[in-house]
Amino acid sequence: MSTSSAVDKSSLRWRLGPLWSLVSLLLIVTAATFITASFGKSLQVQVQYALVSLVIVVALQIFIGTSGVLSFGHVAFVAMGAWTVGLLTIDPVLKENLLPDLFPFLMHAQAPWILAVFIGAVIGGLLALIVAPVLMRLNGLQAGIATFALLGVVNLVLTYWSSIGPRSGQSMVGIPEVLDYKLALVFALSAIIFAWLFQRTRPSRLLRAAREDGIAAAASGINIVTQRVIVFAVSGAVAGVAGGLFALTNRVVQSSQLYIDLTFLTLAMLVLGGTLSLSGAVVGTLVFSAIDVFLTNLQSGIDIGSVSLSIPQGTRPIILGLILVLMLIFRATGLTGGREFVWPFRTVRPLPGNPPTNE
Amino acid sequence: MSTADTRQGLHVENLEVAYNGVPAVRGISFEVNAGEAIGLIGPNGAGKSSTLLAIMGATPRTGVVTVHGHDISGLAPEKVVRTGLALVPEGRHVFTELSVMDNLRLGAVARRDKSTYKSALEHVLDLFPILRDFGHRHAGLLSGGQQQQLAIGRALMSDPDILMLDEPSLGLSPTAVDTVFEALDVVRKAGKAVLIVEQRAEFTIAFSDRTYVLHDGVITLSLKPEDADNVEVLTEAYFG
Repeated sequence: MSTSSAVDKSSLRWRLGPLWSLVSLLLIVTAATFITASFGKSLQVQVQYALVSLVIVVALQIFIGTSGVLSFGHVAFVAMGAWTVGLLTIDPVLKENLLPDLFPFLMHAQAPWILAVFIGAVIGGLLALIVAPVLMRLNGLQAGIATFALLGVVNLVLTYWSSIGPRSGQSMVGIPEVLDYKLALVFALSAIIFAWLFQRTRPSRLLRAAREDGIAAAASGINIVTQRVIVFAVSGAVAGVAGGLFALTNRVVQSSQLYIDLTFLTLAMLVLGGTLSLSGAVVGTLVFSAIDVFLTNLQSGIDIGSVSLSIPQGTRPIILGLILVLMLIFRATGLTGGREFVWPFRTVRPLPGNPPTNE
Repeated sequence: MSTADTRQGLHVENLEVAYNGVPAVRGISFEVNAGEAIGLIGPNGAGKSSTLLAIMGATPRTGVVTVHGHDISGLAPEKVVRTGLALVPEGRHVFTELSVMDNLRLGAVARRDKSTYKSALEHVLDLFPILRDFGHRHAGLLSGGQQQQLAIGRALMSDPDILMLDEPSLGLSPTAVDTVFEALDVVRKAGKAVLIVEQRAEFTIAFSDRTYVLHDGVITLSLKPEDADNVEVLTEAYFG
């Protein structure tokens, strides 16, 4: 394709711009992880949970950010991943005692944890692919409610069907301790790289165009439902990976942990950062998690020199909720405004090959 | 429509559109053949845009619409594009956050012959040189006239046999309108069929091989280019 010389001169910057947005995110996450982890064992555990949340939020961003459609159902795919890893990594002897009603093939099924995480991703993606042709025809509130219904159904099945999990109200325990915060960091960075690469694929680009202008998309021959189905399935698979990481981090899996609380927690992180960009997913998770960790520690008291600071128990969710409300009032597009980082410290819309707006 | 129908171009027969029971288009028929431009004019609310949207499959309708003899009833807009029909929507609807080149690339999604993509792109960039100069610019930063050129260029990237435009002159400067219609003339001379819906009557009548006047959902007049200066005819067209 021929372009004018004026275009060629700065095209290198356009190409490097998006790459910088990726590199900066990887650097920020790595730095935040190691700095926080250096403060001791307890913070290392909290960092690991934050990294798991980050993978969930990246999965959410892949779908919500690309399609502009809200999903309250992604934790269902997280639950698929967590369940899979639980069932495949708990020792069979333990399973016979703790999960006596399991299907025989599940009772004996075993896999190395990393393979289990991969299988969890496949199952999460498959569930998304199966429900997508119906769900992806919906928009706005209907889509929100339908995806929430999916979460409800999955949660009920996991809670009460003891042939695929623990008896009602009980939990899966005995998941091996194989994941530390460094390994979780590797997964989180991989998820960011994957999401960044996926932004550059055809389905993602077509769906972003359709999100922006449905009329123009249809007139251009773009089948919005098909593109949404593809992106929903991919995002479901990433959520499945996150579920596996959650199981390996928490080491106890119970359906009640994979329900409304986690859904709203991760959505709040995405909204805080900005749904439309990958930077938003990362920044939102990091800032939200940092405030969360700080408030959690403040509730149990922090000693600064001779002074001991503390806030009453139960203050944490109130403050977090307040921050989110203020955010929605004063900056509804999130901390990043739905934009990606670009060197030197400017932001552009998350699309490959696009020029900075002032050129 | 029977498979024996060998007619080329766009044929619309007895097209009816209603919104919540209120008729907008009441059984109109017309045809657009290869290499000709047809105008559709009329006052606000006459049913012009409804006609285009109904042909595209974007709004429910009755009647028969055929492209090259094939009935396209019941097809979704993204499938209709693949039959060789393209619509430049009213208000241009370019993807403002995408670059000019990305807009053109998206236009090629529905191309039937992908192997000619590069030459088609060159053709569009020759037709609208400004798009070549601003290839990497965000489409949202273009002027109205440039966006209209981009919208037409994007539609041409799907390699349509029939190009439909909804109010291409809306909000454009006189020079920009000239540029757009000069390009449409090139498109017509290249053997494509062009269907233009417009409010600007004189311009459309002068440009089109035939212009139909739509009033309250019915075709009331058929005009030739030489009628463009006839004030009585125009008054009749707009005020009945």
